[in-house]
Amino acid sequence: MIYKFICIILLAFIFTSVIHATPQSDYDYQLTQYRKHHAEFQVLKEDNQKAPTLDNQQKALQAAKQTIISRDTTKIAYIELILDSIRSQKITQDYVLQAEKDLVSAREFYISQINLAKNIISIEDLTNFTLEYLEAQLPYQSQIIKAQATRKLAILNRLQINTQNAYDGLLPSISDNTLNPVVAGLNRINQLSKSINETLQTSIQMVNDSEVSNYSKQSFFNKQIEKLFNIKNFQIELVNILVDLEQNYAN
Amino acid sequence: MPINFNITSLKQKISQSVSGAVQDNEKLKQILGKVNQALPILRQTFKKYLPVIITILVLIIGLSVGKRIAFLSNQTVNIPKPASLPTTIVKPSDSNLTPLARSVKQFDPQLPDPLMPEFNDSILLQELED
Repeated sequence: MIYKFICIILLAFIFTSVIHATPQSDYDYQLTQYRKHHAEFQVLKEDNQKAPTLDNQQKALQAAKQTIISRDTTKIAYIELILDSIRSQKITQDYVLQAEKDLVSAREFYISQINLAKNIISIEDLTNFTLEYLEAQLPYQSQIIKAQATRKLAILNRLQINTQNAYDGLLPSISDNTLNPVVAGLNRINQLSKSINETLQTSIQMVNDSEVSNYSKQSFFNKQIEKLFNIKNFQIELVNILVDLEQNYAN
Repeated sequence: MPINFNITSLKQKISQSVSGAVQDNEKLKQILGKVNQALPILRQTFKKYLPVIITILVLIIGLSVGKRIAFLSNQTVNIPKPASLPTTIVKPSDSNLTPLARSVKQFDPQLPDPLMPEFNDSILLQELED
């Protein structure tokens, strides 16, 4: 009997190590669960409104509790996903480290809310929980919104570092730096690098200085998108010049 | 030619073969006795190590199945190139900077992150007073 149990555990271990869960797959799963629980809650809430029996009330309350737990578990999974993405860029600048710290504290907050939600036993408990939650989560919600922009900036920052490395590697292999197209290309690269760095700094500053709420997030995102598009276009032009120099003037 | 029966020698031969058979029988009994003695020990040993053998077999099968699944999940589809496709033409995409250029082009500046949906943060069963 014990050996059978050990065999099952070993098999499960082997299979789980092979089929490895990623932050993305975990998030997808949690989001599906949340949507399912939320849909169930909506139905049971409606049933309770139509026929407010004790049984219907208990069913709706349980569904509400389950939805809250599932919602915050999904938020935690999203935090893990975005944290993983930011960390994978391997940027050690302050704005990235701050975003990582903020996301960790947001994760702690949602874990604490899951534990609190488990104690809901009445409609009054549910109301009090939700009212406190709406207020208490504001700073963490802001951190998650800002972290979405930080993630984009960290990706662009990484691309800029990779472009710089490519430029440093290419420069010694250019045989004649005095040729007009080469001089023009190198000058343009310098201009673009300056513009990219300036725009990145402005965007980072904007993220650092903004206090974003759920209501103001669209305006925050719109400003960020504009800057991100500019940086992307500068980088595309810069890399195209590098490709041209590499193919036509490098040894 | 008359057949000469030597009764004495025949008796001796018979008694020798009989005693041989008796000895063989005794030897067989001895062997069987030893086997009978060893059987419970063998049975016990087998009983003791059978789960270990099963565990090892299950591990081997599990690992091979696991590897197969890993192989299948990581398998890349190799699209055969037509024989007539020229492979010596150098295109801009053959640059060492192609991966970087691709990453830059693939960057999506859109916000908010499409992965993050709007959550219902107001889960309530009674209407709130203004």
